Amino acid sequence: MRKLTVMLAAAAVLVAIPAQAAQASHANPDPFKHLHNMHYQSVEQFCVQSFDTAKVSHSSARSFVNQTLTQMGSGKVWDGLGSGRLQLHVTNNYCSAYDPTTRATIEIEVYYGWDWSGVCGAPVGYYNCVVHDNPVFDSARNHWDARWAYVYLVFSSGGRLDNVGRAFINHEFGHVWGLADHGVGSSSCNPPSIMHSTVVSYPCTNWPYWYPSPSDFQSVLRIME
Amino acid sequence: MARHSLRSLGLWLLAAAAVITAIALASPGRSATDHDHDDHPHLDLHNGLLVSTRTVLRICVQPGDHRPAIESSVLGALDEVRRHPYWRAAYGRAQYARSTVLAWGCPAPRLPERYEPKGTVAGPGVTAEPSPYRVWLYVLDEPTADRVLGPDRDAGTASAEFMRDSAGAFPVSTALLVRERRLADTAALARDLSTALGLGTQ
Repeated sequence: MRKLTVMLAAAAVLVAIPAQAAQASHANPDPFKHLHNMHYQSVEQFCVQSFDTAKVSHSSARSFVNQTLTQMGSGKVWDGLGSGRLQLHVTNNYCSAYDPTTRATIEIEVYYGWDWSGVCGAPVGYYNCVVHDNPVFDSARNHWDARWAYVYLVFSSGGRLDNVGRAFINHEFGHVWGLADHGVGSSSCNPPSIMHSTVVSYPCTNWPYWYPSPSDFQSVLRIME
Repeated sequence: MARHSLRSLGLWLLAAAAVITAIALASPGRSATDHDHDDHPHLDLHNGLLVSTRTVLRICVQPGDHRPAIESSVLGALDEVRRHPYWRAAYGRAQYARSTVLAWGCPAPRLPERYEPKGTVAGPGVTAEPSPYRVWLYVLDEPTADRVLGPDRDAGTASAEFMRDSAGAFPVSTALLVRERRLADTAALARDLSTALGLGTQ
């Protein structure tokens, strides 16, 4: 009985561990929600917008996301994966600066803000997440994916302009490419992954870096095929 | 002794993991995966209907009073859409009955103030219990179309319903906002419906 009490207390503590990136991940065994263009040799444009420019300006946010995704060196960035199937190009301006027709040609939008609980779930100011939009049939692969994705970053974690922020950006872009959350209660930390690392507030200590792991890149390559 | 401790620790961790799983699965709104229960709706990206519990292609029409002219136009356009080269692959598993594909009235209609091609939601948005309707067709009279779509646009697609999981959300129902006079052009309406159904135009 005492053991059960201890276990329940420990379980409650573990359940209460912050999960700021909307929970952790591995590769998907199944075609999962992902961006349509990643299957093809085409550019993925992304724009970046801050919803509190006094906290983080559009240009600071833009520069930071672009640096994280494209300029941190080989083996550390999503850009260029799959022999160029991921070709990430940042737009010159923030998202809402574009007219609606032009904006519809931008595949990914990244938003910085204090709170996305209306989109990502409660509690207030806590979760980062990805919303895919515009489902489309991929006839070559016989599945459905999405033309657009929106990445929501909260200033308290994913919206930080440091290595914690970089880790969350890479984690959320893992979701854009179809990396799934690991599942509550799953105990496996292998393979090492940015999707369940302690750097994004998950329990796995075997990937303590802010950039995607080799297995993350492999997982996305498999989804691209 | 060390081995015994390790074994105890392993058993303890297994038991704790089981308790965590039980607690987590019992918590509303935070499912462990999209596939917890087959009788519960989950996202299905191998099926054009996008929700596991949908088996029949259904489209709700707003406003909800039965209008034979609208019915005739939409059914004619759907006949064209079903000749799309991807139809069989995309919707072949779904049942289709001309007599029941249209339903009059959407469950929670909500027009946006102003339509934009990206990011517009025309419906309830995030839901754990998506409607049976893959497409929500809003037929707009001229003043409403001018206000919502703008005077230069006759049709537009948006998301109506999303399903959320631990990583984020994915749309499972598409809204098609159409100016009423567009219904007279079967080919144009067929293109709009193809887009709303995720097939693109031919």
